[in-house]
Amino acid sequence: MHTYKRKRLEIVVEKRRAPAILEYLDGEPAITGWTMLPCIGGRGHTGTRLPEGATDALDTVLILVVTTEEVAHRTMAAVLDLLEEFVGVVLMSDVEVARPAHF
Amino acid sequence: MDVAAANLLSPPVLCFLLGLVAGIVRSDLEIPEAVARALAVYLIFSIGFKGGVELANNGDLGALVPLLLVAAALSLLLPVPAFVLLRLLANVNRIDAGAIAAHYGSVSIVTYVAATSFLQSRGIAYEGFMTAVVAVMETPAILTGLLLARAGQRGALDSRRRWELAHEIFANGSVVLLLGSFAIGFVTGAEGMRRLAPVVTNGFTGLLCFFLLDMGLLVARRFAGFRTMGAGLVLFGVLMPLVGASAGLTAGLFLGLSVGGTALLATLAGSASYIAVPAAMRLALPRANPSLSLSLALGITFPFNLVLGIPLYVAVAERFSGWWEVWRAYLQT
Repeated sequence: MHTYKRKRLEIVVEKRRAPAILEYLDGEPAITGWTMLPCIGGRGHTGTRLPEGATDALDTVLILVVTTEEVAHRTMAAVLDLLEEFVGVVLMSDVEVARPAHF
Repeated sequence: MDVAAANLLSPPVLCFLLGLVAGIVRSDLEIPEAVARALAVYLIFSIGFKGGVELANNGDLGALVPLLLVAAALSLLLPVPAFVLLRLLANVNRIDAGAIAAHYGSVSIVTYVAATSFLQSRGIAYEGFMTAVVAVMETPAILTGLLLARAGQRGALDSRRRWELAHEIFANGSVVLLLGSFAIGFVTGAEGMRRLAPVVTNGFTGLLCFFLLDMGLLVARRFAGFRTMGAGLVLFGVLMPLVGASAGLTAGLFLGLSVGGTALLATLAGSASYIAVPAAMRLALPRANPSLSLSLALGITFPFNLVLGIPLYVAVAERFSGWWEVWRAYLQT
């Protein structure tokens, strides 16, 4: 089957900062969609995060975007600006898609 | 001593200790997160509703206004000694100290609920409108903590962040539920209570026990963070509730609250938020280390207040309210 090269962005961000990222993604016409998943836990330079029960203040989400290389670089820079001093991880990797018109 | 023993051997505190022990021995006991959140909704609704009914039935609205003003002032000012203590006792940077201070100016609704349950079990009356005090004390501390953390720093929050923060503070679920249920209780009064009593009164202590069992498990999980905290921070976690409670006791006596009302104001001033403030701080001070403030508020101050603080504040309120009455009468002669 023929596939097409695209870039995949993975953005891990605190749940409360996610709306700002999604607002940017929704406002960028070249981005055709995104998927958001809840994170169960993790460890990074601010320590370990596990479900707290008492508060969801430390909850994080993973936002996935698949797009062209040019848009991915632009988006990565914009998302990093939006993260400012917030905790977050932005990763870019190669991916292949079957339906290029969707991404 | 009697009061402390009665508190320690009460079902809610024993359930908390059970959760703590289960967490420490790494038992697989757990309360599903959705159930724990539903229990929190139930507890907040119940105390809000009962407070509203109480205010409708026997409330003195005139006495409520000065109390709310004093409560807001307490919340606004308590982060200052907390900030100073943190800088003196522990090697905490300005941003973390401001964030932690905001937690200690705000209040813990669960500690308040446990205190009301303890007062009821002892037959000690308190002003029903104290529930409104809980709502008022939730937020002013956030502003002071923010000012303390950002003092001397350039760059204010942009308008979007300010809006998000204001939304988080004022539309936060626990504040909305507490004020909403208080209003429902106030509007429906005795008739509302007659219809809801089987749920909000009869089942209250039992469901509080389940909730505190979960809190015990959560606190045990926080113990792992103590190793990195240092003795200064642990000392702060025990000292600051006493400082806050002393201010609350003094304010309660000065306002002429009942013994129960004074003890509750002390409990609120001596408690630290671990629901509303952590969420607000993630938006306002994202560089602050949330593990520090949560470990302190949830891991040290909450169990301290639940096991030792509440009976201590009740005992001191009982002792001093009589003395204060005599002193006031003496001044009026």
